[in-house]
Amino acid sequence: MSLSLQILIGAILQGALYTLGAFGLSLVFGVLRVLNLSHGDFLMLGGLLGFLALKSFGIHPFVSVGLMLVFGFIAGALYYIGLISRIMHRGYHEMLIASVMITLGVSLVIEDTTGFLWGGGATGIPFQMSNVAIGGVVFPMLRVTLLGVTILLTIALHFFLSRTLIGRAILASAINPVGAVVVGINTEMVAMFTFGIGTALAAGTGVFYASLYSIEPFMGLSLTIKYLAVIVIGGLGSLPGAMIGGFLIAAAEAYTSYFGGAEWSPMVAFIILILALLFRPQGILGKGLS
Amino acid sequence: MSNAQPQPMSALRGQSSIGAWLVVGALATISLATPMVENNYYTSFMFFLFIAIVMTSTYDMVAGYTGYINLGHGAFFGIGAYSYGIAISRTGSNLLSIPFAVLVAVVLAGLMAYPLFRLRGAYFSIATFGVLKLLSVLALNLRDLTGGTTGLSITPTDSTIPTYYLAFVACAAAILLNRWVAHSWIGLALLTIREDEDVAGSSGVNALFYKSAILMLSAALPGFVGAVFMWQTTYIDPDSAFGSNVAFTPVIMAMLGGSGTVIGPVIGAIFLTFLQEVLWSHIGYLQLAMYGVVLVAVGLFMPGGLIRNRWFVRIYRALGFRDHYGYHANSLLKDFKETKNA
Repeated sequence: MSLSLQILIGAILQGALYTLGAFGLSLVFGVLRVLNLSHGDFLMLGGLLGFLALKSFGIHPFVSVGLMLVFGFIAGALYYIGLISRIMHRGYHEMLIASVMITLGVSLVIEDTTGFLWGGGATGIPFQMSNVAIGGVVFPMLRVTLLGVTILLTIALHFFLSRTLIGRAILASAINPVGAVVVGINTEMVAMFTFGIGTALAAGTGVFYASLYSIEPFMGLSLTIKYLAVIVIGGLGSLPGAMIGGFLIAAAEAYTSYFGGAEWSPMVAFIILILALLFRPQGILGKGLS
Repeated sequence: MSNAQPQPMSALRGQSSIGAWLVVGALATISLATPMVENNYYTSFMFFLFIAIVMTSTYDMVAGYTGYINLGHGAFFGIGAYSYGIAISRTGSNLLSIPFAVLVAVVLAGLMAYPLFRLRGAYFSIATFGVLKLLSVLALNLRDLTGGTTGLSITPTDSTIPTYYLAFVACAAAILLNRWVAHSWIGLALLTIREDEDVAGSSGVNALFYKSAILMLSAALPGFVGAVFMWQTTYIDPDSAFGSNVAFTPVIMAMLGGSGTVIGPVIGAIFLTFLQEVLWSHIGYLQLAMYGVVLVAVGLFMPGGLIRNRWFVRIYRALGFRDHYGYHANSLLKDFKETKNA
């Protein structure tokens, strides 16, 4: 009982990481309809910069999370202005093709440049928090903090999207882009903000990722694909959906590696992904793509 | 594309001139003669170029006509290579093993077609990518059959010449098959699916049948070149069979050259293979980054790919090619309008 509970708690804590990583991807897809294949690379960059900040200036990882949110927002906004905004006016199919090429290209540039400057080795932020045992179940405090941050961010994002002017503009653009223009919303601005927030979330998550695991320059694309599975299962463009998808995949992976062996756990995400697509293509909470 | 005005249909569907046939003949002669002249660097380069053209052309048979972007196309290549490797070490006969590899790839396509073609757009792409990753994990974990992470090796034989010509035949077959589909009834049916699947269905086009047929047709040649690749290199591992690189390369090459045309994927494959070769052999570092810059530039400035670029069209016409798109005139004019407005 205690073991199975331990696995469940591990899965929930792992799910928090998946959720946080997938939020930005989901937000960008929901509003801009752009599949950002370089999402995982910004996560990697955030982790790497967090590591460098600790190593060179002794900046505490929790402070780096805040710094990385700012860095990610600026980088994402510039990314949008410089590249993505130039293809947004194209028809859906052409825009999809161009966005795949551009984001994949940016991903390759980031990975290779980082690998060249950094040397390609794996590294992690040497930051630990004590484990707390309650009734025979161990809670790693760093992961619990991550869960707390995820929940806080979810609530904050929810209020940002539903209460602030820019947030409501973002929601409006996601629901009906043409209608948003008609009522006078500056959709360019909204898109830039959304892309910035998406990238900021990725970079901020990177610091946690680097503290929990190790990061290496060429891991971005495979991370993006896993987060893609998370948001597709939950429903593309839906934030609570990303949460459900993240916890579902984390739980399935945890139980598979316990009962079937760790080598089968990478397969679970894709089996769930295909099953979810077949039986509920719009995702658990999604409204579907037109 | 300011100067590429819509042409009358006769000019576009007309016969290519002698100059065009000379170019094609020269390319074929160079391809056929390469292994006789030297037997190392260029032969190997051309071999991989042929494989790239086969993968890109067959990928675009599905993506270009139906609009379904199949990110799992590399799986047909990978499963062909693995099937050949497993079969050859048990039977020792190429005559059995190569058709077996083709069969397995086509069966895989058939199995993918029914469930996955119920999905549309980005969902289809994500699901096909999931299939690819599933196969990758299977190849890693079914160690008795595939050798796991260490990969699968077969006994090396003197295979350079036969594999080279088989790859050449596959390359020619892929281009001709693509061209045949473009001008055929199947191509027309697929185009209607791309333009509007629901309207096509209500007009009596059995969309699922045509989509499944083209997916299975597109799987045969990748299975074949997978087997030939395995015969030549005698080694395959999960990453070189089912890696993301294998999956994305044909997609990028087709988009770069110009998706939805017969010649576009070929141009894209040749251009990128040469670019990679130049970057890899002459510059020691940051090759991937430069590759990425090229991708970004094409995505930004050439929405229709190289083939729809005005300078490229000029050169292409000057060489005497007329059979520009190989597509039905209607979508052709639409392409022109879209690139003009872009």
